[in-house]
Amino acid sequence: MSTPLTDTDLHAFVDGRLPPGRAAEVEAFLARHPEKAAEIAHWQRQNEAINALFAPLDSQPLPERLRPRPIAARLGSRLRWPQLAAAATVLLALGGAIGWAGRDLLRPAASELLIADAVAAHALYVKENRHAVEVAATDRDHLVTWLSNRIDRPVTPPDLTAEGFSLVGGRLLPGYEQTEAGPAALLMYENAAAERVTVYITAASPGKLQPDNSSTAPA
Amino acid sequence: MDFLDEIEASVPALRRYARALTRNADRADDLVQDCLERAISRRGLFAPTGQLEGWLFRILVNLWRNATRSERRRGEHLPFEDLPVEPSVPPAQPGRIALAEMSRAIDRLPPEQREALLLVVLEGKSYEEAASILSIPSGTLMSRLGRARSALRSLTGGSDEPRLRSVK
Repeated sequence: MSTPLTDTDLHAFVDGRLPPGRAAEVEAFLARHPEKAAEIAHWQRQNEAINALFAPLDSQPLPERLRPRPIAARLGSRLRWPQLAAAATVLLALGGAIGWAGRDLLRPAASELLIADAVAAHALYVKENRHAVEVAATDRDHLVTWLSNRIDRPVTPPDLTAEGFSLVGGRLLPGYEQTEAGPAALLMYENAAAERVTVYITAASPGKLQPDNSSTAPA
Repeated sequence: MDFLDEIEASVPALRRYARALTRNADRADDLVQDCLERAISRRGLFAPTGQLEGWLFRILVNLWRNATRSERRRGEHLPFEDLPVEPSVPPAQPGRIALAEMSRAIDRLPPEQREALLLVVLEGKSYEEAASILSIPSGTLMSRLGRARSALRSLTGGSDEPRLRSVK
């Protein structure tokens, strides 16, 4: 004989989880203890009743609100953005040819600070619905003149219609303190699926973007 | 099979369990919808080495616990201990438990016993899986299972039954 029977053995017997040898030991035990056998028989009938009451799985097609794909699509624009934000912002900022002087000379550390700033602005404003931008694209001339003046560089919003994105508008962001880079401009684009892309434009120049080297003369 | 397909495969079981817990099809579907939304929006938190279905059940249980807790605070449900005890009705046929009677008895189990019993019996979860879903040690699971089974037996008049031997 092996180890003494426990309550767990009795439950496992009822739930059909015992290896045959052990189950035989339980049966032998129950044959000698009719009180316990009656209790265990009742447990078995409880199991049958529970399964009879609830077990049939619904074979109907799932209602729309319980289907993962539509749920994911509904949550989609909200949930994909945090992951894509960094990539989108950096790619556009680096690739957009938007008057970012000397970008090739940026040191990695400095560009990382800049990117962190761009990502923070992106994350903050893409969630906004009615206040996503300060000046809407309907007022495009004013937007371009205003931002160009404030960051002291000509701002030309890139045309992303080929990618399915149209300009929503833009806003001015405070400067990057440690580097005295001056204010930055944020342009926001949106596609038909309400996904948003932002372009972060700064007049930062390499000399101004070396935070641990403040003694370097500004360009 | 990707993440969303895998989730979809678990939805029927989640619904079944939610219905048995709540005894209300609409409420059960609300619970499952909530659970799916959470899982999908937090998919980054799911460790791929774990069991996806177990993770979904854990979310569902936690949502259900939150809901029943706030209901109890609002006083919509009486705690089990305060329910009047009805005289138990002898089973219609010896050896068979009337389903309606069992259904009422399950309703009267304390929530933590119902959670445990239904996971094991209805969903066929192993004791380890069930303990992990409920975030309790396996010893606690076994004692909840034991108390649930004793309670169901006395609530359905089982203790007054003629002694029956289970025969294969």
